[in-house]
Amino acid sequence: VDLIQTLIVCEKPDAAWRVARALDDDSDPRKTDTRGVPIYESRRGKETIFVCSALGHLYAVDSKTHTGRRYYPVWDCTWKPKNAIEKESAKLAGWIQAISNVARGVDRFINACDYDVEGSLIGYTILRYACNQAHSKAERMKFSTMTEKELQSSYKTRAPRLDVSQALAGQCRHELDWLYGINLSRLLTGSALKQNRGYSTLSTGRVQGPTLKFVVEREEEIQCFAPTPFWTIDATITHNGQTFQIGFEREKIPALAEARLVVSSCKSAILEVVNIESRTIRGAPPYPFDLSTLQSEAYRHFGFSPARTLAIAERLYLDALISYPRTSSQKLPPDIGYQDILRGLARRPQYAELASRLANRTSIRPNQGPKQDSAHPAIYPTGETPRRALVQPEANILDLIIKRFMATFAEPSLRDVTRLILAKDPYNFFLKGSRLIEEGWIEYYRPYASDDSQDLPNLKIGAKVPIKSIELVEKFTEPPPRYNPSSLLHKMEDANIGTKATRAEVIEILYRRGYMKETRIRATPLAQKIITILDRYCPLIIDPDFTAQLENQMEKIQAGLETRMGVLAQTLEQLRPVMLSLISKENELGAQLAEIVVAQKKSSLTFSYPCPSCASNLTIIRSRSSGKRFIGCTGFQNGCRFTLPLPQFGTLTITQRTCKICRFQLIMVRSKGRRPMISCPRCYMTRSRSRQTVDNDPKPKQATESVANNLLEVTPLVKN
Amino acid sequence: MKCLVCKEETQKPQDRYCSEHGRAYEDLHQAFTKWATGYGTLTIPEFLERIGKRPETGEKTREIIQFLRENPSRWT
Repeated sequence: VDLIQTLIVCEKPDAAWRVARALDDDSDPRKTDTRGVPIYESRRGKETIFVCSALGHLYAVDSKTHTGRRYYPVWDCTWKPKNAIEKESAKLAGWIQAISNVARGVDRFINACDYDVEGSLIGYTILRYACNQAHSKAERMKFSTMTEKELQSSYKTRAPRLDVSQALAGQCRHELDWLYGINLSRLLTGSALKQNRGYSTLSTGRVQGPTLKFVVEREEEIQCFAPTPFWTIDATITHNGQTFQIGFEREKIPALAEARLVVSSCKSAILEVVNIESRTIRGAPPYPFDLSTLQSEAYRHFGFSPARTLAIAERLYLDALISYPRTSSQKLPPDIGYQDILRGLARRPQYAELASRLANRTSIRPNQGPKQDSAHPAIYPTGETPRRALVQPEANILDLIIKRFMATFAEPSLRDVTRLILAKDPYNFFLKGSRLIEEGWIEYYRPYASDDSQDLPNLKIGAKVPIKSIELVEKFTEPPPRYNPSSLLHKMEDANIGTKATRAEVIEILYRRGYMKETRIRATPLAQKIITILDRYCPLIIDPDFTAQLENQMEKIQAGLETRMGVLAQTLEQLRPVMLSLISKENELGAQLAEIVVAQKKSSLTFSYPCPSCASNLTIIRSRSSGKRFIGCTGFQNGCRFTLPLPQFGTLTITQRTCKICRFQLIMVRSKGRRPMISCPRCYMTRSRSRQTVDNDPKPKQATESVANNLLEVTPLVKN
Repeated sequence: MKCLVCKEETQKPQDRYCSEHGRAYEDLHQAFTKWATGYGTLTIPEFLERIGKRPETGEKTREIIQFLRENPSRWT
């Protein structure tokens, strides 16, 4: 009997296991573990299917000729196994070897990585480099959920060829990002380093630069803001014992004299209802979730950063609970099986009533949004019940996706909005009220949407009501709001820079580099300096339009309208003169950067809370003799001996948050593989001393005990 | 030329302020017109004192306010 052997390449080990299980006749694939690399073997009729996985990208871009990590400019690049580029990826050597070994005796190759640019590229590079050029004959599975049904159907209807244009677009994106990132980042870091004032990684890139520019521009707007005064009129009326706030015809009055005139003319005046405007507003159901809308809703309701939402959504996708989350589509095609999904959801008690109501309708249609994505539909729940207990953040995101999905099929909401016009010649006031007459989709999307009805007094035209109170309020214009991770991601999306898969990561990098801080994002002086320098010497690099233009070119590669080599050649033509010009001013740039790097390092080690003993600055010091770090006082030379202990492991950051007990600045410790921990060094020491007192005294005084208990309750390291 | 407020190099030799302080200076001038309209009569020192106390006022604007209060002749 001729047995066919097939190798399927997936993107992650969890995905490989799901694919193998879905394709195995007994849903029980054999797992072999070669040097820690899981490979699954499924039996399907006369076919043996090996399913292996990547671990993200196994191959990456590196210089063809220059291997030095600080060398620049670099104009050539090639693809190499990641383990040959970075020490941290050493274990990938065994991973690639294991895939190569399986690939030797195989007849058929299939790429089953996520169907998007990155997934296509991951599969393409593995098939090309690890499977002896198998990319030319490989096939492609396409699926949007990891349910068994869809995986089996995707296997049967797989495309006979790889989506090479998508992979080439991805390849080009990586090469462009590498050429920009490596050259500019090495130049910034190198020029500052040559000043001999310490090392600091400074980076910029094709997407990082323009994103940082948004933040710095906003920072400048806020820092250069000059408020101007205006006045508003606050007035109330009473009717049947109830007080109602009424609005004045002009929202802002620019002059105090004018506002005073309004108040004096209307004090104790009788208002007459001269008009009643009433209309019914139809609130359309929300659109299905694309990734950025999900990220912004998750930020609004749970405070999750875009990167965290994406990570959670990916876990839910791998558990076959939702569809592929990296999508920009707001459309749900009928072939996903609306009714089946709703029937699946109806099996869960918390959604049973609403989901059954929708499932029992003869015809249902979602409110499709305008955004499209040729690769995947909008994010939707699969209707499957979780097979493991979800942690709270996962449960929250799943609940949000399920309720959004149901709401898109519901009827519009209807709201009666009424506006009463109340006159006191020559001024008009108004009173607004609204009443929800039909909940529609709001019922399905609770608690993420709510009914904000406002009652109105029962007044007819001609009715007269006295003003109960009227006063002017002095106000001032406010600076534009700071970006937060969610609004910055939206700004990137609007400007068409980065991709849905990379934007959240770019924002995280900008935080890591010390260019931005806090959730309401502040640009640091270092970021301002870098943007000033780039703006002065090479404005093209941080021009969002230029980056957006490159994104368009990559989309053209995907559509087969441009070639990868053509786009690379054009980009090099633009990048080369910029780099050469920057290199000629390297010394000047380095001096400016080094100065700000030193200042930032110094400020990052200094507390704004003064020394409790002598009011000098407190700073983080590393002992020359023991190598341990602690908080010391800069007034040491004047005799101050105030110190506080610090954790000895992890990266320390002084936060702007203060301890609720002692008002001292909190510190944050980041350790690899752990969530950041925030604590108060001062309370920690007080607690340690209280403990010692308790230990030494067999019958501690009640007061000491209560202090110790109070501190123990409030000051343990708080999870961020 | 160095910025009169922060001593940073100015973009053009004839500039008195760096780009940020220059922008803050322009905004401050425009704001004065609105403050004067709003309150009817307002002297420049009074304006600088009052706007300097507002929490909405930006950091660079505060620096230029401080500079102008110390060098009133620079308000032109």
